[in-house]
Amino acid sequence: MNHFYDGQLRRYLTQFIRAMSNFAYKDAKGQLVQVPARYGDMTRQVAQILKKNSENTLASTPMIACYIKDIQYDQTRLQDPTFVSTVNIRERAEDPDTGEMLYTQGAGFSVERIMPSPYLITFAVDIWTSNTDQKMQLWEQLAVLFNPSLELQTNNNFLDWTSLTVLTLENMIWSSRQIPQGLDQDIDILTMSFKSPIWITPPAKVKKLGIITKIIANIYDVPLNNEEGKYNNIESAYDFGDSIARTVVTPGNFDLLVLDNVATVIKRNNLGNNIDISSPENTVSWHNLLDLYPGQFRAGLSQIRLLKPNNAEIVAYISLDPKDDTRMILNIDQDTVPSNTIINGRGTIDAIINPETFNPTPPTTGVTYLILEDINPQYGQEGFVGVEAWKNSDGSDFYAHANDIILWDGEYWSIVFDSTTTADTTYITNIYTGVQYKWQDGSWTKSYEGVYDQGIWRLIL
Amino acid sequence: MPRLSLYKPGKGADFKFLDRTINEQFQVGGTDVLIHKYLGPVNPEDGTASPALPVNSNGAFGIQDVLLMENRDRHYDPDVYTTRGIYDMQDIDFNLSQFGMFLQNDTINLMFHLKTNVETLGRKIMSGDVIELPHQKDEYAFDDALVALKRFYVVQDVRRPAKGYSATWYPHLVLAKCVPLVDSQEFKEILDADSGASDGSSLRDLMSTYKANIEINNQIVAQAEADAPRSGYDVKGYYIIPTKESGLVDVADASDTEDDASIDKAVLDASMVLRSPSRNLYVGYLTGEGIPPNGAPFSHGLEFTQRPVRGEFYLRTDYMPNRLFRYNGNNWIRFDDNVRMTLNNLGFDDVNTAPYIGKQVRETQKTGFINNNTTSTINGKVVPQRQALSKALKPKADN
Repeated sequence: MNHFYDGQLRRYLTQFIRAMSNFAYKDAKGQLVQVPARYGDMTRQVAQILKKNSENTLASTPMIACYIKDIQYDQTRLQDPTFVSTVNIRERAEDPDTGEMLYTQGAGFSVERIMPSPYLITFAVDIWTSNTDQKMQLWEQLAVLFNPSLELQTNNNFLDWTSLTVLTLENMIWSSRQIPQGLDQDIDILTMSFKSPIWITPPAKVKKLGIITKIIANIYDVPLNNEEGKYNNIESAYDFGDSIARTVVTPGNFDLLVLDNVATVIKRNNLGNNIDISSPENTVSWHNLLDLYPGQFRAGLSQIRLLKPNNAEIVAYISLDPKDDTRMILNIDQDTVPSNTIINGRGTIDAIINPETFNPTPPTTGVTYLILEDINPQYGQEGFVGVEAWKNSDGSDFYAHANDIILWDGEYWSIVFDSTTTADTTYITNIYTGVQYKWQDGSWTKSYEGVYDQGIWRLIL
Repeated sequence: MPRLSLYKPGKGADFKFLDRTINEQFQVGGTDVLIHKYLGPVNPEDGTASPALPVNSNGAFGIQDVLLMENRDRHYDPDVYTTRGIYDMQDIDFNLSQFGMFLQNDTINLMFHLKTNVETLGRKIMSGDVIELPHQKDEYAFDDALVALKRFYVVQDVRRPAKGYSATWYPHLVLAKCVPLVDSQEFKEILDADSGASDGSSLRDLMSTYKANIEINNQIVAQAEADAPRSGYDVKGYYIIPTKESGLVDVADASDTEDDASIDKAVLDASMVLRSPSRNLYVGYLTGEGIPPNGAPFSHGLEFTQRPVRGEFYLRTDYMPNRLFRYNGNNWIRFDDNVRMTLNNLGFDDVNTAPYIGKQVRETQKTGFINNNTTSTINGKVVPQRQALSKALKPKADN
């Protein structure tokens, strides 16, 4: 077992002595004298130090000595010992230089507390007085406070569910002396006993605040074909058929538009991709969202993650545009962008060109281009004359469609990526600019740009 | 020839001869004893005397409290009387109790020459007299650099010892049963005297464990205060996300038209991007402090501010306990009450003296009746609110 000690009894004792402190008696001249209260079970060595190592030192009275008389397990307060209570707490941020608490959100914690053990503790207070009037004065001041109990609090931590208890006056022995006193005059002690139901707790588990920021609800069909089978098949609860519906809930249910390395949250609408993000109605400030996620936004360190079709994620480090809090500037982690699709032995192209304005002659053997417009669109038609720049070495004409990737093998141009027949998602990087592009739904776009549905992007602060 | 008899109806020459010889024995073989002569109980404060606590007119033989039969506040002669005494030295041992070390077997039977004792004190030594034995000074206590610690005893009982009778059948000695002095209310006058250390300290400061005990007590209270400064729970360090009805974070932005930027309101502090929360999430037993969440600024006073802005906090100090309000754009809504209170048992008497200067006085429902210095002016007369119930509104004489 790892060592653990939190001084819980010590704190109870400290607070108990505090409850017995700051009482005074008044003498005939009207002077108030504070009565010291302290722990009653001191060691001999400390007692000798208090005596200044001399038998001539005078003991002082009155005095209040407090100590623990008894501790018993309290079976009557037993509750589910396995119960764990979790409390979620967000702290205010702290200025790292001054330590001052700020207005903004700091770290978030989830604190798990297991059921503490109930005990019943008995405290005793011995009050030594030198005369009866003193004793009556002190007794009266104490007695009115217990009707029948006082609260005893060991700390002011909101999370500590064991910190509060009550102190109940249970018993009193008015005097330790005999009446009459006999030969020797012993010191006179008034003893008061108090009971307190306390809790002793093991350590808590302090974890990073876990907040659900995305709920995905899928509804599937039952895979069996007939109604009778649906009811008879006891495995149907675990045997999913086709997906019927899917609901994703995120904070605000916002989609994300990524464009030119800037992310903007956009409200969902029925306009498809036709969204005017300059309109305040279509977007919101990132401040509306950031605090809803666990953690603290840290410019350049916090991330937006974009889910790819292969379930991998593109990671972008984010910082808020200081001039426009609807724009989150992205710094894409290039290691997380999708792998290029190997086309004819390579995953890159040498450039993106407009064949109507670009003259490749003389082309370099092995060069590949992504073309933005058709080459010789009238190829094969009557009276067709091919453009000179795109002729093969034997003078024959070459034709290709916009979005094709073409290759010069030293003698002929050929199409290595046919946009008219390829439906698969294809990634390719333009080594001229270093930008990766994605072929999807009949068009090339930058590989991670576009609108991300609310279910396929997330924030990690 | 007269009949031979050492006893005589009167103390004759034999007695005087023996008495002088015995006194000589004390002078030769005895030790100095310094006596603080008990003069009688202290009289009650003016106007507080009562049949049970009468004004004393019997000197050392008066009784201060005839109900409890005790003399707890005692007058001592400022002069110290010196005489000689003899007692048997004995080994003592310490007995450790919950109140510290006590000397065991340290009751001494101190014998004095009766006639000398009476001549010295003007009366026979009596219970309540305090004696000091100079030969028992401890020069090597922890405070030996200041002054040697003296040994004090208090006389408990006085009698004439059997061995103090001579063949004349008359007593020559008086025996005082003495126990170690404790620093108590009874001997306050003696211990309040200057210690002689020339630093303003009293004999109590030097001789008693009182000062150390008070310091220990104060440190325990300081520790308890560090653990739990006030009742209830501190949630000032926690953060509440201000949210709109939509669930989004409530941001104070340029689209707001309710705020009047020309008003210098703390709530519009440039560093506060978010609005103040409209409700408190960290709610529990005694969590209210009258302080807005997230450290939002607030003002306080007896009247709400004019032209408040939405989200502004205001602490009304005329409420007891003080009440914090938040302006929601239309009304001032109660946010929380300052219900946390010190757990120290401090009254107004305490907070005016070290180490509690400036600390909060405990004023819960019950202690508010005890720690109450308030006065009321009723019918032109200033009346303290706190009065003993047995004396409150007690009928007074018409004349």
